[in-house]
Amino acid sequence: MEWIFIYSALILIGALLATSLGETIANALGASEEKLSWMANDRTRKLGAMQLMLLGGFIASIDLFWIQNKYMEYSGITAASTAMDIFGLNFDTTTFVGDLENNNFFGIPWGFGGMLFFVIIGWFTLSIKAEPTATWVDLFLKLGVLSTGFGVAVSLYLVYIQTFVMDGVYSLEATIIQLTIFSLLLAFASLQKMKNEGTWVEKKYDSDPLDKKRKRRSGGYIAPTIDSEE
Amino acid sequence: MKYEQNTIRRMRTDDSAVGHMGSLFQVIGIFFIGMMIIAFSTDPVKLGIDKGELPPTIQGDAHHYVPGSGGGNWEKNWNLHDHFNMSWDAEEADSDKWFVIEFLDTDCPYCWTAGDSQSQISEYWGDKITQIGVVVALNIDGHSGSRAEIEAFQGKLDFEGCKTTSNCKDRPGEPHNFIYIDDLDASSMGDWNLRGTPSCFILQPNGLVYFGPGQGTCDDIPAALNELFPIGQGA
Repeated sequence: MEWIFIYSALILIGALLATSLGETIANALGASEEKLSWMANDRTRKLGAMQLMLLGGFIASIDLFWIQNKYMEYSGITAASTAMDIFGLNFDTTTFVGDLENNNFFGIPWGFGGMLFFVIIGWFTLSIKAEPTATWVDLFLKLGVLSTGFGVAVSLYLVYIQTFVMDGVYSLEATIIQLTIFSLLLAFASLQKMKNEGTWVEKKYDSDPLDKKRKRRSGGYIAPTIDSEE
Repeated sequence: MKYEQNTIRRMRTDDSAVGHMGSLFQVIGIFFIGMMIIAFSTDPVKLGIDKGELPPTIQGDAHHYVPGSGGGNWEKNWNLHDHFNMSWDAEEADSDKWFVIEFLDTDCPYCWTAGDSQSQISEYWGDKITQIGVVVALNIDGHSGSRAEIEAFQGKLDFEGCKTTSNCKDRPGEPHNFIYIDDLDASSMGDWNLRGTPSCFILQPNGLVYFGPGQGTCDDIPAALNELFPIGQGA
């Protein structure tokens, strides 16, 4: 139960930073090129926020998968899951993971599927953050939007299963994961919009790592990579 | 000029592969750590039909025989897993009902004969177990199945066609008061990876296999039940 507070906090902070409120927070914290440089421009702040959401979503998925595996030990240990009523909805992860027909997506436990999903999206995000001006960034942004769009579709399918097949049994952990996926879709769409509008690389406080490498290189010797450059 | 342009272009792209490959290794590492945490802290049961494993579900319409009525009624979408008590305490073996499952074909001569032992199982351990007959139609010449034949086999009704050419009312044993599941398309049997009939299982109240083909045949079921619930000690 304690873990839920940790990953919920990570996801919530990430979601806030990814919105326009994130700029206000960054200004309030005095983000600049020297201090909290990753918060100093839109692109790096959103990518950093996505990293927080991805980490939170990944831990939430581990938690859900762990609860399901623990339940399937038949050891009677189910205390780690959460059961409560929120807005009149019955959140009961034990019942959710105990439904052997619906606790998986084509045989893949929901939690494990979440882990795989966040790893793939994490790869796109970390890659874009590492080299925002690389040629493949456009492709990775499109893949990010498509993957998170697929994730949202699967999330809606799970909501359908929980509402109509399981008669209104929801899982708090799964719901947090679903909200994270939806937030990531919005974040990816926002990044793609920035790229299309040409605001991807800002001069002010832009901590593009490749740009820094270029600056470092322009100040010294660059080793030729092919003979003809000698 | 062209040389300079090429150099700039290369500088802009040289590190590209390094960037996303490095990220790939990072996320694989994180995924691996997550899986290690799960692997070292949990030990879920395996899915399967061997002893101690959790079998696939059996799903289909279920026929309840009503004694004296000459028939019964069909229940839609009966699901085996819905009947498991996953919080069952093994220390109190008889605190909940166990399951005895027989996969049978109404045209199979061995299943015909086993009708008698199934009746005896009901008689001796009926209050300790939930007995289930899963009726399939094996893909063998002369074997065919229908809802009417299932009802007739179960209730020993006047119907020509059981054991291929026999009348169902002549089946050994008494009418079976336990449910029969329509699995004529053998979908559940396929999920259980069974090759023939009869195949019998004893499941614990939480659904784990206690006795299956690895422990013996259908003929050994009464002995296994007698070990669990000795006759004369409350049965």
